[in-house]
Amino acid sequence: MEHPNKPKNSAFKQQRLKAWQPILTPRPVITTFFIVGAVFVIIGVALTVSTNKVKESKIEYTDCPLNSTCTKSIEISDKLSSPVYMYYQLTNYHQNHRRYVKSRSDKQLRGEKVSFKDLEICKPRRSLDDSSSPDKIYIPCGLIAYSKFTDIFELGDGASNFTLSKGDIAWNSDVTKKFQNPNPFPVGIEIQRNFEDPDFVNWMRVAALPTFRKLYAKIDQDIEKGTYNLYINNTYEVSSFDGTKTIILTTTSWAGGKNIFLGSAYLALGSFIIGIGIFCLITHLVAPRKLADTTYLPWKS
Amino acid sequence: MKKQKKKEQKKQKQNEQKKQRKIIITDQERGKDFPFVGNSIKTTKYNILTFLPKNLFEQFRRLANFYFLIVIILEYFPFSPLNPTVSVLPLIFVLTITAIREAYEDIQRNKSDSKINNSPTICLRNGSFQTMKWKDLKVGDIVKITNGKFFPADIVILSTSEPMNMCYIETCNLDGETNLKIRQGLQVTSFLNNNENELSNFQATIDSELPNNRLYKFNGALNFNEETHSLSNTQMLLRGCALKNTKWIIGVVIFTGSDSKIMKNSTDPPSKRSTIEKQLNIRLISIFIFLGIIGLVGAFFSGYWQHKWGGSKSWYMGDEVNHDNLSPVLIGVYGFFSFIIVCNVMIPISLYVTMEMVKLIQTIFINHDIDMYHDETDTPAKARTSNLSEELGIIEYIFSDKTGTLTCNIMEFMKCTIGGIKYGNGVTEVAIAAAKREGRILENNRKKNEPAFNDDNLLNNLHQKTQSSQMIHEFLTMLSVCHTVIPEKNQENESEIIYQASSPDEGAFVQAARLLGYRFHKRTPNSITVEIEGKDETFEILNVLEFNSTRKRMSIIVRTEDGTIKLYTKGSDSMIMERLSQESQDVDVTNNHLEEFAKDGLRTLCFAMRVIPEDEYQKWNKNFHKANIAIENRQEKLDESAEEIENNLQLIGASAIEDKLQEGVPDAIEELSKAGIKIWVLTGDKRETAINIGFACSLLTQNMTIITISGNDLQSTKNALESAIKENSNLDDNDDIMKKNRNLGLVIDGATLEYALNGDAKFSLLQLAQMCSAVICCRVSPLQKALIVKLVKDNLDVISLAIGDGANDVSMIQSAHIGIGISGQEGMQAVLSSDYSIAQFRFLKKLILVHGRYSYRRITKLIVYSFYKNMAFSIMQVYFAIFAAWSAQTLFDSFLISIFNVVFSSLPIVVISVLDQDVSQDAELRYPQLYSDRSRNFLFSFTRFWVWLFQGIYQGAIMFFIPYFIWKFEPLSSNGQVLGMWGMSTTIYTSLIITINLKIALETTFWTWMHHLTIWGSIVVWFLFAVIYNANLKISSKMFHVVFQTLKLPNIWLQILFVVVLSLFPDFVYKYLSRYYRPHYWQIIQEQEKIKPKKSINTVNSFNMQEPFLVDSAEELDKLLITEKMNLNEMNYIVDGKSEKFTGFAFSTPHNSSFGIVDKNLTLTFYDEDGENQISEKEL
Repeated sequence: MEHPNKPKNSAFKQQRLKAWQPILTPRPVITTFFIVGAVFVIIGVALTVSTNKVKESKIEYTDCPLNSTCTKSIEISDKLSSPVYMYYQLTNYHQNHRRYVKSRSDKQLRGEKVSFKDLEICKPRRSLDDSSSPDKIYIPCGLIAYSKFTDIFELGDGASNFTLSKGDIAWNSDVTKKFQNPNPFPVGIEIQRNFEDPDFVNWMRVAALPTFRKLYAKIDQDIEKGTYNLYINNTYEVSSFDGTKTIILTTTSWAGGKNIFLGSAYLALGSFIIGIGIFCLITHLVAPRKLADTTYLPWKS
Repeated sequence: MKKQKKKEQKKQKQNEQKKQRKIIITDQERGKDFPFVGNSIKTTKYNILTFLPKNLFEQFRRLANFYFLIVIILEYFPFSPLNPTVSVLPLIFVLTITAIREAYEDIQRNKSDSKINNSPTICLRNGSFQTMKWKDLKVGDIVKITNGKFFPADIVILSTSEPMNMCYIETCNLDGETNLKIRQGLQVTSFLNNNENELSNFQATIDSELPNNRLYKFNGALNFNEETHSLSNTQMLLRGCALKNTKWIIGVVIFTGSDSKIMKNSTDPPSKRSTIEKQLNIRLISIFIFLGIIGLVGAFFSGYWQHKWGGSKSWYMGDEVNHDNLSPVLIGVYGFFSFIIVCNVMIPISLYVTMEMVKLIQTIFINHDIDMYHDETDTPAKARTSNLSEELGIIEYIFSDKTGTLTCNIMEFMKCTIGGIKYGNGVTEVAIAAAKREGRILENNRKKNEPAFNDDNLLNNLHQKTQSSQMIHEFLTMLSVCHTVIPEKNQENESEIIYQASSPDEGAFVQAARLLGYRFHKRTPNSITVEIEGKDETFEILNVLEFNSTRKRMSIIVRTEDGTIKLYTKGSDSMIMERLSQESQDVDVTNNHLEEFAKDGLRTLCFAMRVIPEDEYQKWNKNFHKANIAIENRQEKLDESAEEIENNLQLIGASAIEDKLQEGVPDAIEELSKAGIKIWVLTGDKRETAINIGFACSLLTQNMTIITISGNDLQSTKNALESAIKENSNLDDNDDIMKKNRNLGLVIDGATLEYALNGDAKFSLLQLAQMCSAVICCRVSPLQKALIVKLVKDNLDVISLAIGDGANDVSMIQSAHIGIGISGQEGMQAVLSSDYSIAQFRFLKKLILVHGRYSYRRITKLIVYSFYKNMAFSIMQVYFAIFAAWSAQTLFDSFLISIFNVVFSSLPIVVISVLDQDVSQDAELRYPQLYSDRSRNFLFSFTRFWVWLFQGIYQGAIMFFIPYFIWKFEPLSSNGQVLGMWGMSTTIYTSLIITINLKIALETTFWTWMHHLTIWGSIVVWFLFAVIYNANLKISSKMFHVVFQTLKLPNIWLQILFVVVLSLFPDFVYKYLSRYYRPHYWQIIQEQEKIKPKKSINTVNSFNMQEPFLVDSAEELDKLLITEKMNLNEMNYIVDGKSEKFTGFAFSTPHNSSFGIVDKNLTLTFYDEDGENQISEKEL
């Protein structure tokens, strides 16, 4: 008899594929707890040690009068060894606001020719009074560029100032590719002449949170313990939105700047996991459950 | 006033006209005004023009689709943070896939329609018979149908090839009955022969009722020769029936196409949605509410932020030069919609596509399951819908038809006892099941096509001329003589005989006798001819004393060739035993044998005879004739008269017939009830037959208390029900174990159900039924079947499944949550209206326990996981909003948002919801209890759903806030450069992809290569994608090089590691501890499977009894209970005072048998299908 309708006996269709069937039995699970816990503690220690090596000094200068130069003295309590990074930090500043984030034209910033229509996205800072006449267009357009950070800093010990290097403070890919100066420079209202300027580039890379730091400069020499002068050309308004401005000098480790959070978190979680491991181990030793114990099946008991 | 009256009169007249249609036979001038529909049928939903709008409309009625439509519309507004294309593409994808499926299904329907519409038939047109297509038939056409053909429309018979203008039809497609029925044309038209000229000149009209759905009634009149002859159902041949045993008929088409009775009866199959899908909508609404709350929170805070910090304060926002209206209220209103748009992914659009895909694959598994393939009929299982596979996983009630579903509808002569000697070696299904319970393995060695009765001793003893041989001779003679079977000669092979038996038992007797050398081959109105060992012997039939349910026996009085008058009686043991003569021998031995037979689930009948002296017979016959012509109380008088002659009998023996259960039915029923499923048998059979089968298929067991309810009005039925409840619930209170074992069986018949399904009684019925582990409803009509299913479905919050094979089961199949049709046999009605079709009842076990259970677990996992991951994904937008001035800035790049579901998180869950197995199929079948373990109701509960969502909310919080605390203190790199928003976004996105993929890894314990490929693959794909997406300014200038700058940093990797571990840790610990200390049953089985070496794949149907695990301790309890309950073993709650006992006897005669031979004057009696009214009686 022919069987044209007979299904094929394939492993897939008969749901009999070969499979690895791991289940959470005590031995591997408890072992995992201990291993993961131990690894986490080790990472935690490593992070804590390295973050403790990072030295940081900061000075808030929000109180400096606007549109004037201002000098603040900054206390370096531990020696900062080269390279030292200088950041400005703003607070309550929403670079991540939706209307702010979108208000830029990457095409324009790449130095490409753009039409007025292309710049629609830059509104409300597309052009002066949103006029379509070419000479009223902001170069580059958009809220981000328009609100670029304008304070200028010098750091010195009274006798001489440190060299504030701008090399390598912005992503190489940004400086060389993402931002390119237009040639020739178009007519319009100039906001930023040099698109490839690392400070401008850093500003244009919007921050994730309303408290953010941006790298201002790199100092390629050690800064000994002591008190130094910070000269500020203070032009940038933050008080209207209750913001603050701070200058931070810091060294870095392999894990970045000073941040005890991650190391502590690792230590805490690692210890907790080990604790759970110990708990499970003890309960397993004291009141073990026989695997595949049929007394748990009601139709058996 | 007058005018009005006139109007009314006119109206009335019109109405009168409308009450009937006038048909002019072979009206040659059927022009444009021809008022009747054509004969083509159309079951399709769409046509080319209506497809698009209708289908779209249907699809947008789905809550989720409609929601996405709204979201897309919102996205076109300027306040939208997302580009509409982000949502349009997935929605179009979803709609297209569904539309393609719908179109495909409709095309299939169209194909089957056109196949039917184009079937050939013979019709008289232009004076000659022509072969035409069904669809071209018109009302008034004269058609000729030949033997075996289906009727293309509803037809009134004019003439037939048979005497008396009769014909036989099979109505299997209409009512599931396989025995032939008689239809008869009017005598006035019987002169019309198969002659084209004569027919062409035939002029008559028919007044018929309007098309309706009454299958068993027809009113009409034939106007011919200026005389009116009334037409009834007897002249009616319905579309869907087939002509049998008749060379040809000539008839007039009355109702065509959609007007035909069968089409009027077919309602659109109710579109069934699974419980999960309905629950899903409720879950969806809960998410909509959640989303709404997010929207409101977002609206409030965005407005508040604008109020507090907007305008000249946050000058960098340029609000002062912004020409848009930035009033806080408006910002708030925009904020509401913006947040809904940003979080719209909370409802996973891909879920529906994924679900359809997964369900489709689940149907493939069902369709290709080799264990559900029936070799003999070459029929695989078939899922006719993909919607309900998970519904199979939560069945609590099964409603089963009996004939053709539990049984094969084949009666087989299995054993007999003659003169105190038992013959027959066959093994019954029941015996096999009983042996299994006792831990023995009994096998059926019988080969296919071998007769069920095999015992050489019978023939040996027959041929040794002893007393025993005389008894055997009488026994075999009885088998071949005492019945109402009609032999039908095969047209091709004269020597081959087909027996047309209205009672399958009798068919089996005649068949068995023939195989033993007593070949019954000819019946005339007053004789039966049997070829006994090569020699014809003719028995003159003197009287037939019919079977009925009070007599429970039937007798035939014959005159043999040597002139002796013999009375042959067969009937239930109780009836026969009390009418035996004193001298009867072997009564005790026979009784013992009968008991043995009954234990094996066989239907037994006793055979007895008596030689009647001529004078006694003549005397009695006079009385009998008197009774036969009595006008009042004829039946009672006939019974009385029969009583006079049926006594002093000599016992010959007894037969045992197997109402052949389908293979594996008792086992399947037993296993399914272990799975916590209640099984109700709904059958048209008599009570005894039904109870017999109940025992045979393990539904009823010997230690069960059987409650029989019968009542003849509403009040008595209710009382009977209530007293039964009272009596049995008292027992329960005292004995908790008993309640657990639910050792009650309920038997109720259709007549009683008539009342029991009404008013308050139905709640009593329901209450009683719930107390019973088995319910048998006998003599129920198709409608009652559906009503019973509906009663349970509507009043108990349970999922029901109905299984049946015949057209009489259609309504039941359609009203249950899941309908199953038995395929592979004749008559496809049940299959066509079912959701799944299987060839054998036993396949139900695998369909439910394996496919249902897997599907349910898989689908629920798919749903909760899909919502979980999307919740984790979109809730982060809210966390981010806290720090982003509630501006609804998206945390992720919009392209990444749109492909999140499809690319990085869809395949693993698809693989898992297709392949996941918590325990093996073998274990599911071995431990049916797994089907109802305590996790089952939990799997898609509201709580579980939100527990999963809270996992998403928790993990989202971890994934966002851990980076938050770190990003506040940039730099994260040793070179001092900062990463900014898109760096943080990339980090979080990476943690998200890894977390949700590891989460699904935690959720499965079944790892095939596909799991590895998709789970690890999804993570790898993200990195590959990120590299490509970030590499080029043209692709995305926003994300340009972000991933390289970010993921090169050790700090970032440590964040990701931390986030992933912390996200999953609580879940992992919970999983371990709950498995360890509060294991689910399936987890225990899982461990068992892991520890013990896997058994070979073929263990599905073999049962290893050595395994202590398999012994059901409940059985031991049962044994204890038996002793206590012996006396209670049978309770009858019968109100009409007649208490009946059943002792394994059943004699199957369909109560609506269309013909019975009554006495030597051979009266042909026609009953209409209600079995009530005699329509006509004619003498031959």
